[in-house]
Amino acid sequence: MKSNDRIALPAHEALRTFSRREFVRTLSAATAGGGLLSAAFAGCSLTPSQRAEASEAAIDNLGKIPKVKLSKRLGGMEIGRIVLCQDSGGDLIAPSLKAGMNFIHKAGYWGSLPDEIKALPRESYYVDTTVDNTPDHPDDEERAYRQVTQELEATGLKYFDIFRAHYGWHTLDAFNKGDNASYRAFKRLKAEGKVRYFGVSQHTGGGYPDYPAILAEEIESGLIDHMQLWISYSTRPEDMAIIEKAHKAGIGITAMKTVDQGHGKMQGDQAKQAELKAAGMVGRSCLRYVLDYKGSDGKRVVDAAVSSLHNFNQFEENVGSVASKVARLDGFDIEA
Amino acid sequence: MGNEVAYTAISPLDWYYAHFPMLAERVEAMGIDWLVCVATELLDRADETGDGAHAGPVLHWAHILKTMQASDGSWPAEVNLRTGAVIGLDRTRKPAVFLARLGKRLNSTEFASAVQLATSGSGIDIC
Repeated sequence: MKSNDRIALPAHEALRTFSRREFVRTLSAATAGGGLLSAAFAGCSLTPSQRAEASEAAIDNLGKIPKVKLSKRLGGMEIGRIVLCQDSGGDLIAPSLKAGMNFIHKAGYWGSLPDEIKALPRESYYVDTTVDNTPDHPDDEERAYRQVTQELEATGLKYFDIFRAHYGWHTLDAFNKGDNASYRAFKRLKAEGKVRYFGVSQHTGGGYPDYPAILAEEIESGLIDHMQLWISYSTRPEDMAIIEKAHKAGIGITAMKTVDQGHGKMQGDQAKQAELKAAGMVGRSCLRYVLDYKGSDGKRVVDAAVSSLHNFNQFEENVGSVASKVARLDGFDIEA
Repeated sequence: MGNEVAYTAISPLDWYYAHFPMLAERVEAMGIDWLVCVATELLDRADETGDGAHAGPVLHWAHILKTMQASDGSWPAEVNLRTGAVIGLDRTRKPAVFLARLGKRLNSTEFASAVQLATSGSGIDIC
């Protein structure tokens, strides 16, 4: 494994491109025919404006995503059940907003706010900032404070709805029952009106604590308003049990790594895909599984899932997991 | 140019470094410079085709690379994907160039501090 070794990735053929006339004809036929519009353009290279137009047509087919009302500890904010990620493809921002996504994960990382977001009234959407204190600088309150203030200045966002401790805490001692530098920075920023709620995107495995241990501490502290967690078709039952406990405590729950980590198991489970009314669509199946997961009391545990979207096919497949028209057509009742 | 190598497998979910490329099945060691080469090829593919999905796995690797950086800005040259153990004493700063490119591609400051730590005083040119 030398640094100058070449990587032989599968060769790809030159992609087909469309003239305006060909594009309109193909889009019209695909819209009328039903199914995924992206299938009509498989293996083709679309221009940014063609991608935007196709995505808009897809939303008309898919319908809007449903919203969920979070608990009182989050001010009852109503968020779309698919969360937009800052690192999604730039040309998918507009269609994502049109589909009803109104929560943007990692918005603080934007070097400059995209025009589509600048055009919106600030109160019409929600954002979190992922504060990088916890993996490398667990005791650096000033660093955390500085990161947030600099991001607000760079983006012009005025405030972040959620200050999210990025990666979470490496050990239970590092969390220290909530008495830690990240929480102290949060309190200062909240007093200044720069952030509203305290959250975490807690990692597990890879040297991080198991969820039953660390989440129990975080729930017990009473300080965490929102958790973003690794939740997928591969998540262990004992992890789902503690996540359910967090949700019952009024903590908002967003799933991350849902397709990335659930993909392998779901791909091999055609019966599950069929049960989720998404046969052949592994991404859609993964998201439906998580967003419809019900706890011991028969109630849903996961409020939303963050989905990093990089192309039109991912947009259509993932948004279609809960979008109203297609879910109804599939016979998958995500809103019950 | 060196030998052609293939990205043939992905590390399992229950390994310390899950969902990383493997040189071959059952090969637990991974060179960080090799990872950077794979990631760079995928970014090149995304740029050539206009399909950002090629860069999808790269985001996960970059996310975890941030946690692997030492306080002097360097990364271990080689790690065991299954156990997380650092192999040998060699260090590398190669991830900085790739992280800078990824941040620019995404209009993101997510990796800026890692790049700055790796490149300040190191003579590495990320341009």
